Amino acid sequence: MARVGLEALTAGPASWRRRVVAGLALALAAGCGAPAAERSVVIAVSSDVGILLPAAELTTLDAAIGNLLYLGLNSARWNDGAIEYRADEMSLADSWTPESDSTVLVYHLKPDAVWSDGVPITARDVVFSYELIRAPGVASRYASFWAELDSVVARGQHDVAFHFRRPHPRMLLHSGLSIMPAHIFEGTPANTDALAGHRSLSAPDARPVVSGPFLVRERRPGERLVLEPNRRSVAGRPWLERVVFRVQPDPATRVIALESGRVDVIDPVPLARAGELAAAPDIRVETTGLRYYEYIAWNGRRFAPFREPTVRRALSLAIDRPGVLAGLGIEEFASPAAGPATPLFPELIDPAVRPDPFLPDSARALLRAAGWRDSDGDDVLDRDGVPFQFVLVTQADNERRRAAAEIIQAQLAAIGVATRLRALERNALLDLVYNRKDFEAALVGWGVTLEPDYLADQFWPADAQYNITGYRSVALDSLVPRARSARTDEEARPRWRAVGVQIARDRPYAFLWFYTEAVALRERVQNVRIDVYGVYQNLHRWRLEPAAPATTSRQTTGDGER
Amino acid sequence: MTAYIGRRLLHAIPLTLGILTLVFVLVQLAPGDPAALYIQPNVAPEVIEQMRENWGLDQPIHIQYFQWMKSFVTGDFGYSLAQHRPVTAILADRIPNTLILSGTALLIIFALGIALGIIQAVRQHSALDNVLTFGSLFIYSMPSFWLALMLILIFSSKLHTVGWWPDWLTFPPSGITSSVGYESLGFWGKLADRLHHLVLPSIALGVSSAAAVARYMRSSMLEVIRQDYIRTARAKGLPERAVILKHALKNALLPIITLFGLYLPFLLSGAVLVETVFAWPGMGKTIVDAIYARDYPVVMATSFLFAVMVVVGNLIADVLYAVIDPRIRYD
Repeated sequence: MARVGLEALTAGPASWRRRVVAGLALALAAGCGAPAAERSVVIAVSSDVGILLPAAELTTLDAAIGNLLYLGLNSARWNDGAIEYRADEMSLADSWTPESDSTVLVYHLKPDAVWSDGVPITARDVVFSYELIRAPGVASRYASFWAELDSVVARGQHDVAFHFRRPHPRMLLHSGLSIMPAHIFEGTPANTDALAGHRSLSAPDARPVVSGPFLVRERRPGERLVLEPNRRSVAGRPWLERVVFRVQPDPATRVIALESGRVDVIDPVPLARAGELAAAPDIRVETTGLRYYEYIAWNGRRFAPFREPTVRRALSLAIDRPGVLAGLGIEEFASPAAGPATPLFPELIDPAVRPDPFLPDSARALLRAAGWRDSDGDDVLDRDGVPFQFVLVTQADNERRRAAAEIIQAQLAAIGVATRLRALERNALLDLVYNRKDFEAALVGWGVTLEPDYLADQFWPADAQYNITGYRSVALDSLVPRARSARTDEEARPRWRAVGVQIARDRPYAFLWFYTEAVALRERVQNVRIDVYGVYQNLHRWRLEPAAPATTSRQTTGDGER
Repeated sequence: MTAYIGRRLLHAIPLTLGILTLVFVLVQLAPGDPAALYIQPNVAPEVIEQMRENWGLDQPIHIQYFQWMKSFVTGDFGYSLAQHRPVTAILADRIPNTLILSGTALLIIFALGIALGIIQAVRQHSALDNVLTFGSLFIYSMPSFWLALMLILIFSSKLHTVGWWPDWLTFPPSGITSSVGYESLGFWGKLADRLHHLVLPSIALGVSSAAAVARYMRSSMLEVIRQDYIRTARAKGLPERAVILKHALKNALLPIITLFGLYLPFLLSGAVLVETVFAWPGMGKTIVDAIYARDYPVVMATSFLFAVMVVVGNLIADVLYAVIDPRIRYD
């Protein structure tokens, strides 16, 4: 066969080729020079922000950004292990006063508070906001604020009264909703699609009318949200001129972007990589507090042995919680759980309630006492000819939970309990576990609210919406309403402790551990308050240290963040 | 030819509706619930039921199907259940992003693949052929998301710290444009910024398929350059460049056109893994997110688009056969 010279194919006038290559190089060189903006931070987040309206927000990130855009009547802050409600720069009211028999709270709005379009913020906006969260079509996560609320009444322009059905410890929480502008949304049908489709939220150039320290400068769904200072806010002018929330779903890319200096903050950090990042120069890792817990729900409705407290106790004793955490490499960020009350609120935990220790021999003895034997020598316990074998479902796209399920499967096998694992995609898992309750055991998790007691009746009473295991306790059915009826925190605490003791004793779940989320920041980002209220609560006070002179690593120009 | 195209398009209508019906049934059969988004302790069960009612999910399945089909044929793709936006607005956002990325990747796939294939064929069994064969197979067997991560690690992270490496050859790890400063650029600056962001994702998406195209092209070209008419062209004294690029290439391209037709739907479907790694808000990620969220209207609309692209892609390939090969005629 004839060989053809490569040069024959590549020969010819080279001038056009040189021009193309030079043009491309010039274009790329120009492209890497997007001008730097001082006082700008770029925050890489794992998912997009939802609807920029507090009534319809769904996720923690939605809520965090919602709080920066829309102020509430009061401002909540974590103060040395307790929640403190204040009238400060981040609140629309400058004070509040209780009235009559302490069932009425009257807020006094700051007279100079205005929306970003210059319209004054009045009591009408407050009443409108509370009506909005009550509308069924909005399906607001804040609808439960009305549980103890009778009415919200405007008293003139700047006073608004909250009438509660009874005095209770959550009155400040339930009157602290982020307030939305009535003059913008009045007349819009009260359903999520209509509100989300409002021009002020959905148009390509939409600039929502807000009251907080930041305005929306630009929003590109799925790509980024850019905030800039709201000069009219009573919160004062933020130090930062620009905050970019950039959607970066892949955790590995987020980490690389931080390490290479292209972003300033990544939220969240995969816990397994947090230690490695913390050791990197110019990067610090911070945690937001033990607000999340994971557990195995034993569904007695689908697997009869789980109805027996002895069996549940034995299974719990067979799980080596510290060992699993070490195996997952997250022992720094998690703490074994004794019950559903987070260690963030130690006053809600009875000191006698401790996480179950790892005692496999005791677990075997308990199961033996309950009649479980390995009568056929297959290493699986059985009783009345029925093997102790069940399906444990967990979330397929959550690596930590999948790995934890595998370790626990091995630990249960060691006491003769056979577990088959089934990993389901998140939506299918939620439907199976919380809607249909059609599972035997499930390794899942919840985040706790910052008032961990006020939703307790959603989980534990026999008819509760999220009682997914069929757990029934006569004692608890009276303890929960009693705790709920307390008028003050002081009165409520011992009652909630009693609830915790009862749940820990009955073990409807194997409470595994509480864990925190972590964020990583470049050292240049300063004055950041990070606690259970998250990372962005004082974004308007963040500062950037001046850039250090370039040494080994050059200033990033490729993405234009500096 | 026009009558043939018209006939093919008419046949495509029942085919597309059939595909959509199948997708509707499959989506409904899949476990899960769009209202699962609202499973939170502070959202009452009545609220979740209300949302299902608002979305029409409380209706019997055949009623849902006919309602949906009626809206669909009148051009109303509905509202996204997860994003609370009209599906057309979501598609309008995402399709241009995907076209840019997939179009560039497609260019890389065919330009690079054809060029490498030709070089390998004309230099068969040479050291260069062997090196390119090894390289092609190596890249072809590399998962695209891994290649994407490696590209980011090298061109965004590691080379960035090398003092002598030119700035313009370090690339941003994600996004379509710069996060800060983009809006203050002029037209050419913005174009260049976008190009700069396009480099890594399009390479990650394109090179492994380019390697596959190169293999096809090599074997096709080898077959063609052994034909008598090529020998005749050489005997006439034509320059080798003309023999290869004018006479052999056109005929060797026939199987590649089939590939082109198959790749066309990819223009819209995007690539979920590469889009996820590079935070590129395109159709691939939109579809997968919609499936995970059981966002039925978005799933159905995107399935419709893909069905149309498959039909159109095959039609274009068939038409191109006739354009390139005069022996093929459609009556």
